Amino acid sequence: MAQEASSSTSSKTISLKTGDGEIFEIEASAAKQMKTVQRLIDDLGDDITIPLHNVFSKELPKIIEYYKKDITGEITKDFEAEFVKDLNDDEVKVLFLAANYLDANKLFEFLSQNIADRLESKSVEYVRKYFGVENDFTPEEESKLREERAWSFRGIKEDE
Amino acid sequence: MEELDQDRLSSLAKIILHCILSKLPEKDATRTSVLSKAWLDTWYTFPILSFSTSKFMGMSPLQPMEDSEKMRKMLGFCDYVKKTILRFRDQSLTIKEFKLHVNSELGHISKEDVDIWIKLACECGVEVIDYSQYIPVGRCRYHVLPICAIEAKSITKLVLKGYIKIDPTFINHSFMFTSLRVLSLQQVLLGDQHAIDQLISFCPLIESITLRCCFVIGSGDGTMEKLKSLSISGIQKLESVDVVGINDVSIDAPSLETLCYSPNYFAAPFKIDFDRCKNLKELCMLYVTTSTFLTEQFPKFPFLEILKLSYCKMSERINISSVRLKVLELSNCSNLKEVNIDAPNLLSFGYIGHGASEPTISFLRNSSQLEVNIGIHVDYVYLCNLRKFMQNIKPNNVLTSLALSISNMSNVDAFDPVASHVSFTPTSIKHLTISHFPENKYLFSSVVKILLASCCPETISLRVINSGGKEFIEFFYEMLMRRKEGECFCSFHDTKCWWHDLKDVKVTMKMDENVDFKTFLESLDLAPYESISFRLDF
Repeated sequence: MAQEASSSTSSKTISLKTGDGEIFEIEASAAKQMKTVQRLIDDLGDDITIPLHNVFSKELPKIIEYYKKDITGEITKDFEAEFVKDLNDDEVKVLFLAANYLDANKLFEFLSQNIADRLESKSVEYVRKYFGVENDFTPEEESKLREERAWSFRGIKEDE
Repeated sequence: MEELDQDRLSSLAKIILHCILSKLPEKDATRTSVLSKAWLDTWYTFPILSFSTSKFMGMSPLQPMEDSEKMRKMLGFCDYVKKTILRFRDQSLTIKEFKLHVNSELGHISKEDVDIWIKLACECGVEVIDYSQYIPVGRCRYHVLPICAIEAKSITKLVLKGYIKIDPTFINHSFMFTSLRVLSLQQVLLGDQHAIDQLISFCPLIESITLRCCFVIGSGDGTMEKLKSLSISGIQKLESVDVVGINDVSIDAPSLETLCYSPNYFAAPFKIDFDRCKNLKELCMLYVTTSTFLTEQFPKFPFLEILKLSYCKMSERINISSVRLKVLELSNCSNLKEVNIDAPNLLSFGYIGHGASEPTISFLRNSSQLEVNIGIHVDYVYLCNLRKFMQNIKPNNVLTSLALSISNMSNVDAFDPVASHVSFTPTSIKHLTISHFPENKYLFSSVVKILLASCCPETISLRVINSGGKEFIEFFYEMLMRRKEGECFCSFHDTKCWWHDLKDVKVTMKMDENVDFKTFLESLDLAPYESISFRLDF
C-alpha cells in the first residue's frame, strides 16, 4: 500500500480536490464529519484524492476551518459568531449549499440558523431577492394569500 | 455561477428548506408561503403546524366583530385545520409538531372536532403536541384529552394548558411511555391526588416536567380540588422540574439540574425536599417564606451556579457563601436589611426592590467581572433614599446599571426641598434607565437632582410612556445641557461637583445637527415603550 507523504505521523490526512481543480488537505477525523466525503473514502480508499465536483476553492477552506475547530471540541458561540461575521449573504448561501452537498450536519444546522437569523423580520420582497425567487402569483392570488395570513405581516422591518 | 446558485437554493429539497423554516419565528415562516408557488408548496408540507383562533380570526379591539361573523370565521377556522391535517394524512406526510391555541371567547369549537384533529396528528407521527385552551371564568367544562396524545409512540413533548382533563383510567395500563421527554401541564385536571405521580412513573425517560396550578378530582364527593403533593423518584434522566402551586413536593433525582418552585400563594405552608438532587445547578424559588433555606439547605448543593429568589421572605440578615455561584438574583424579597455575599466567582448579581427601605449589600470577595444590576420601583416620597442605598453597596465599583421606575402614588403636589449635599462622589455606572417618571412637572427638578447626585452614568435611557413623557425628557436634557454650558445645579459651590467635568451630551438617535432638541423630540414618533438615550462624555 502506498504511503501518504504527510508531515504528521500521528493523524492521517485526506486530499480533497475541488470542482475547479485545487487540492486541500484535511484530517481524517474531520473528513469523518462530512458524510459524503466519508462515503467516497469508503468506496475509493483513503490514499486517493477525493474529487468534490460541487465544492469550489472559494468555500472549501472555510469549511475545513470549521471542522478543524470541531475535532478539537473548540466550537464556541464566540467562534461561530466570528465565523459568519464577515460573510455576506451570498457567501453564506454558498457555504450552506456546500455543507448540504458534503452532508456535514453540524455546519449545515449552524448555517441554516444563520440564514434564518438574516431573514428574520424581513419583507417578502427582501426574502424573494435573497433566494432569487420570481413571484409567479397573479396580483389577486397574492393579495388573497396575504389577507389570509394578515397576522403574520405585522412588525416587518423596512428594507434598507 | 451566481444564477446557478440562486436556482440551486430555491430548488433544494423541501426537507432542507423546512430546516430553515423551522429556525424562523412563526410569523416569518408563514410569510414564505407568499414568495412563490414553489414556496407555497414547501409551506404546505412544512411539518410544524400551528393553529390559533385569535390569529386566524384577526380580531382587533378597534373593529369588534358581529356574532354572526365570529361564528362564520370560527367555522372557517375548523374547516382550515381539518383540511390541512387531512391533506398531510392523505399524502402520507409527517406532522412533526401540532400546536393548537383555542380562545373560547371567540366562539365555540366542538370537542369532537379537536379530538379528531389530535387523533389524525398522532396518525401522522406527531412528536410535539401543544394544546392550550383559554376559557373565560365560569365555564368549567373540561375537555378530555384523547388517549393517543400520550400513548402514541412518536410523542416526545406534550404541552397542555387550560381546562383539559387527562382521563385517569388509562394510567393503569401496564406499558411505559418511553418516548415522552417533555411534559408540561398547566391548569390541567388529573385523576386523583396520586395520578401525576403514577403518570410520571410511567415515563422513565422523561427529562423535563412542568406542573402549574393543576387540579384533581377529590376523593370525597368528586369535586375539584388543588393538587396537593408531588413525589418523583427513580427517573434517571430528569433534568428540569418547574412546579407551581403544590405544597408538598419531594424529588429524588440525582440527575436534576434545574428546579423552579413556588407554593400555592405567598406565605403558604409548604414542604419541599430535594436534598438528594446533589447535582443541582440552577434553583429558582418564588413566594417562599423561610428562615432556614440559606443556612441549612443551600450549602447542600455544592454545584449550584444560579440562584434566583423572588418575592421570598427570609431573615433580615442573610449570608450567601459559595465558590461555584455565578448568577444571583434577589427580587422583591421583603424585610431584608443586610445582604452579605461571599462568592468570588460571581459574574452577575441582580437586585430588584421597591425603594422604601433597602438593605445594605456587601460583596466580601468578588471577581473583577462581577456586574451588579439594580432595579427599583420607587415612589417619589422615598426617592431621597436612593443615594444612600447606592452608597451602601460595597464595593461601589461593581455597580453596572440602575433601572428606575418612579411613581407618584402619594400624589405629592409640591416640590419637596431635598437635602442635596454632594459631599461624596456618586457611583459610576454604565447605564441609567428610567422607565416611568411622575407626570407632575413640579417634581421634575428634584427628581433629576436626586438622580444625578446618586449616580454618574455613561448612558441614560428614558422611556417614553405617554404624551406627557416627552416633557420630562426635555427637562432632563436641558438640565444636562445647562451643566455642560457651565451652569451647574449643585448647591455647594466650594465642593467640587463631579458634574463639572461633563463635556458632552450626545443623543444616540440620528438627530439633525441644525435642529434643536425640543423640535427633534416633538417630531419623534415613538412607539410606546421605546426610549431615547443620551451618552455622556466626561
